[in-house]
Order: sequence, then C-alpha cells, then structure tokens
Amino acid sequence: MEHTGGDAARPFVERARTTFPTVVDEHGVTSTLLGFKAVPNGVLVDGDGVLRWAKYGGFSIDKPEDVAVVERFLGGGDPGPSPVQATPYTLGPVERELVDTKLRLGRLLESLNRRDEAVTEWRAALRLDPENLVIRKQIWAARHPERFHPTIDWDWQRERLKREREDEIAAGICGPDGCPVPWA
Amino acid sequence: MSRSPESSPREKGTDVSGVELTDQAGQPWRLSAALRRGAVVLVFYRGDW
Repeated sequence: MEHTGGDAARPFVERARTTFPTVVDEHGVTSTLLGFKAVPNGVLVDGDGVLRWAKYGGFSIDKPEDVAVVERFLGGGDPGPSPVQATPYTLGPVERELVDTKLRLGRLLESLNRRDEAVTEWRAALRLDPENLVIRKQIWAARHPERFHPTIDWDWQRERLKREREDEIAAGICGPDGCPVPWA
Repeated sequence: MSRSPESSPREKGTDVSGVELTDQAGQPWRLSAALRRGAVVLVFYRGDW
C-alpha cells in the first residue's frame, strides 16, 4: 500500500533486499477489492485465484502462528478459518467510492507539489472514514516526514493517535468511545 | 454512515485473480500470471510505517 507511488516504496524494497516480487498499490485497488483499512495483512490465494484465508491487521512473518498457517497452506493443507476481523467496514459503497476518489485526488495533488491541497483531500477522506489507519498515516507522513525517515517514531505515532482520538471523541465523532481504530 | 454487508472485509471465497498492478520498477504485474505457478501468499505492508 503506497498511495504516493513507487518512488516512495523503492528505497524500502532495495534496503530490504527482498527476493519476492513487490507490487505497488498506489490507487488502493486491493484495499477496495478486499475491504481492508489497515496494514500489515496476510492473504492466501489458491491456484484458482480464490481467497482462502485472510488476516487484516497484525499479520507478520515474525509471528509463529502466522508462519504456521502459510506453511500449512503452501504444503497443500487447509489454512483453517480466517481470524476474526478487527476492522469492520462501516461505509456503504457510495461513501467508499468517495473516499477512494479523494485518496486518488490527494495523490495527484501531491505529485504536483500541492501538498496542502493533497492533505485537505485526505482529511476529507478521513472524516468520511475515521477508522481508516491507512489514510491517517498518509496524512502523518505528509505533514511529519521527519517522524518516518530515516527511522519510524512509533512512540510519536501512538501519542498522535491517542490525541487525535481524544479530539474526535470531544467532537462527537463515532460516539462516546471514539472510532475503533485498528493498531497494527 | 451505515453498515454495508457487501463492503465487509473479504474473508473467503472471493475471486481475486483479476488484480493487475505494477511492481516497484514500474513494470506490469498480474496476479493471474503468478497463479500459473500455484498458490500465492500476498503480504500487505507499507515500508516506512
């Protein structure tokens, strides 16, 4: 998932020296198709192209339970039931299309060095879909690149999320408990 | 905003073989082509997050 395009993803891929294909989804094709709004995710697809198992949020090859599912599946076994999804979608198809459109427009504006306007579009998308951590982080990365490069400041992200949720609760967004934002 | 069953996260049974994207070098990538060699594991992440 990289809404700002392959140029942003390439340095990471080169550093990681991956041996598998890395695909850039700058237009959110897969998040729209699969209905997720947080990363990291793991999705298992059989040889017929049918989704067999998915874990949205918190998937990691460092977790033995995730590795076990992948190895069982690749060995021809049944991956079993998908984990209970922690990120239920609350948008209808029209709102979702609007969110996707604003994400794409924001990316176009950023490519034209019109970052303020890009962030305005992404904020509008986040207002429509306040549970969406992908959009939220896109805004953070645009406004606070120093918190993402050269190292990721996770403590800053947690504090930022806590503060934004407090503001949203105070503003009555998503009710008294705030939006159920997933944290990978 | 209202809950919409058809926009829930996909869990099982969805045909995803039509996905077409580009790789980090800008070259076309089709899931259908990768599937010719067998099952595929897709891992979604954002490098700097």
